[in-house]
Amino acid sequence: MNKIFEKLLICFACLNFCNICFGQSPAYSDYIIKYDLSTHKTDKPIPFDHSFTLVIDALSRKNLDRVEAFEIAFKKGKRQLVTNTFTDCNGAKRTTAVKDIDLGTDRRSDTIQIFFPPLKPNVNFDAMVVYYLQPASRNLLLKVNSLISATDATAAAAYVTFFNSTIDNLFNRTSCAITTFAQYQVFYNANLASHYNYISTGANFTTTGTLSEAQVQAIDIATSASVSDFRDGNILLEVSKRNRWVEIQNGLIDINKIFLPDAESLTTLHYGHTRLKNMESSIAFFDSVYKRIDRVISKNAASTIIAGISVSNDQLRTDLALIRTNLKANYQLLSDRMDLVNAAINGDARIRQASYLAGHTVSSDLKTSGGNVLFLDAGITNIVVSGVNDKAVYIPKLYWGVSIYFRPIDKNTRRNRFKRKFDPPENYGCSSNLYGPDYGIAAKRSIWQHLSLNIGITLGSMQNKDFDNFYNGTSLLVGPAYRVARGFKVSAGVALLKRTSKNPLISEKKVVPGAYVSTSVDIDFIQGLKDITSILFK
Amino acid sequence: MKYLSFFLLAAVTFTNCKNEVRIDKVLTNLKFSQPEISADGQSTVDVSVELTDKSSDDRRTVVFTISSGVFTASGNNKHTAKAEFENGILVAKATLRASTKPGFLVVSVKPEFDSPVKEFIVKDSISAKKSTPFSIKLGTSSFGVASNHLNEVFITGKLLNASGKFVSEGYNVLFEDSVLTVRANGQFRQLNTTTADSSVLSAYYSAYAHPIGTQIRVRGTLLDENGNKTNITDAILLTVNQ
Repeated sequence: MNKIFEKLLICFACLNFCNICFGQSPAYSDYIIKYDLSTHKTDKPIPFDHSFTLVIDALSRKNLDRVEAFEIAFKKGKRQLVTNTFTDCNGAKRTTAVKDIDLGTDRRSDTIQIFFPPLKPNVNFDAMVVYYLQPASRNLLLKVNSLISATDATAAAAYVTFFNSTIDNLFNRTSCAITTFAQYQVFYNANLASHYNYISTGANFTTTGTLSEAQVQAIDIATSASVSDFRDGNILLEVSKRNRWVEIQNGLIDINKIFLPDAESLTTLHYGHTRLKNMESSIAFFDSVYKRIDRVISKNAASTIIAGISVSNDQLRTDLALIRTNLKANYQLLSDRMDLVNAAINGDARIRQASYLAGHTVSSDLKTSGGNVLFLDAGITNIVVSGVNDKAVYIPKLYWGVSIYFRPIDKNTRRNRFKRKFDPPENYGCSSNLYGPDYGIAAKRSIWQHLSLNIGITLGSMQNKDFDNFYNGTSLLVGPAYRVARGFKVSAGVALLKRTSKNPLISEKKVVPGAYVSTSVDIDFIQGLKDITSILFK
Repeated sequence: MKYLSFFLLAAVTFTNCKNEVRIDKVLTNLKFSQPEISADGQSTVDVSVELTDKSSDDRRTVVFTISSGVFTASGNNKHTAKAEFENGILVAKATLRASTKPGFLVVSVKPEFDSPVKEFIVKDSISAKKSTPFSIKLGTSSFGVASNHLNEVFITGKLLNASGKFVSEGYNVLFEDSVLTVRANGQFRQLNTTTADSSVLSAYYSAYAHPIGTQIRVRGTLLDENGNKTNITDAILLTVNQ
């Protein structure tokens, strides 16, 4: 049983390894291309049929959820996502944007490095770098939650503000799929309401700690004398005089903002995220005060006389410790709940924001570096054509020609660098609003990377008197060619040449088709061999 | 583009099917100027054949061949003629003269260029109608003859049809001599009494020992198929003069 389990584990590991191969790695990438987020331009053309890594220094990897590529089409001059009609899991026909590829990123990098598999030539695509909500948008959404929790009528407007914050200004696109406040309310009620009910219940938090005004004065006098001038004594005194100890320990107010008007400083129990910040500030404050008292006690000062009354430093320490403990406990309670809130938000793939990268693979010239559509070939062809007496005539000839590919190809690539096929789309629009991946822009192993239309002309005159060349001393060869390895081609098709007419009254030779099979070599390849031989036999 | 390319390739490939050149794409309309001809060795008929108008300028020569008779231009049974345009049609012509042998004259025409593919020959025939005798006319090399076979005269006879032309071959003529109503006992030598290529019959005649001044009648009479004399006859008078 264990052995079976081990084998399964090995298979699983191998499968994962293969997935990583396709998922790319820096070692796998043929090119490293930098993307300037400010101009949305790359430092070099994006190649086709080659894997590459897109480096975007301006984007942080923090909070990254996923990276996806979408095919783009231009319609009436507008750059739009390609849509596809499919049948979703409920059997309904839907038309929506097509996710083409899930892209991998370098987990060791602080910035975004996206690994692209080989892409098809001349495709436009957008890479969507999807983040969990960034702090600004997240705070806006948390505010929406607080408003909903407080049954505040401005919640709907706040949600619009949040939603707008997720829209990319340049691309006018958002990854937030909850587009209306009503939809969000459904999500809130299902996932967040219980947490906000909890944090808005004051009884769930401990707020028993207090300091008297005499204790505050004792802290100031004792620490100023024994440690250093205590500049925050006024803060503590203000808290004591206004009796804000409960609000401080609930995080409703930041102790450092005690002098601000309540409208600016005081929040409510519903604003968990704000309370956490207030608590963090207050905890730091009381930590500092606590340490100062410890310094006083460590100097063997047992008490401080305030207006003839002895204030025990140990009691001070105990009361400060209570406030600190309450703050930290409340912080933990609140933090746990807010973590659950954030986890619920992160857990819904509809609540995302993204950065968009625009790209297109380039084969704009007939001959680019390594890849093109037209290739020159030279080789030997064997023509078989029907003679005047209907018997097959064999004519071997030298020829040169041009191979026209039906798509731009890069002859430096190898078949095994491409996947033969991709898995069918996993997501049919039910668990997410997106459909895909359908791998529409990904280059896969295809016959079109090797098949071309060969147009060649033969060299030399015809030895057989019944035949003549098609035009100007050359015969025409037209047929499909298949590229083998890098520079070799095998072609077969129709040869056009001239043959004596079967009609005895016609002396002009007429054009007849024949069949040919040829083998050829890429001229560039020949040139390469020539360079090598010139070095060897120099 | 890829599908268009394959379509064109397939179309061109299928056009490479075996295609025979039919004879009517080479020579057509072998015609005679009249439906029949008299087998008299003198009558002529025009024969023509049309060539495809796609013919190359250097391939427009055809060879006429006849099974019997001759072409007037060549004097034998073959005639080479170059086609020329007439009213937009490329036509090669020849004139043939019938022989004296009745039956069908088969005319065949083929291009002068020998095709390695096959023979391109068109054939047709014309009926050569028998030319039947209507009259006979005798002639002699001299109207005087020596007695006792001392010399010979050359007697000729010409069978003609109603049109005054020769007759077909195979007609026989009987030469006879007489003095008054009895036989003159002269002798004929080298008798040519049956019509062949021409309708001219002949014989050498020498007279018996008749007195000078005797008139000998030499008569030529057409015989029918059974060897019986017919009414078609002619005679000449020879006078014994030495």
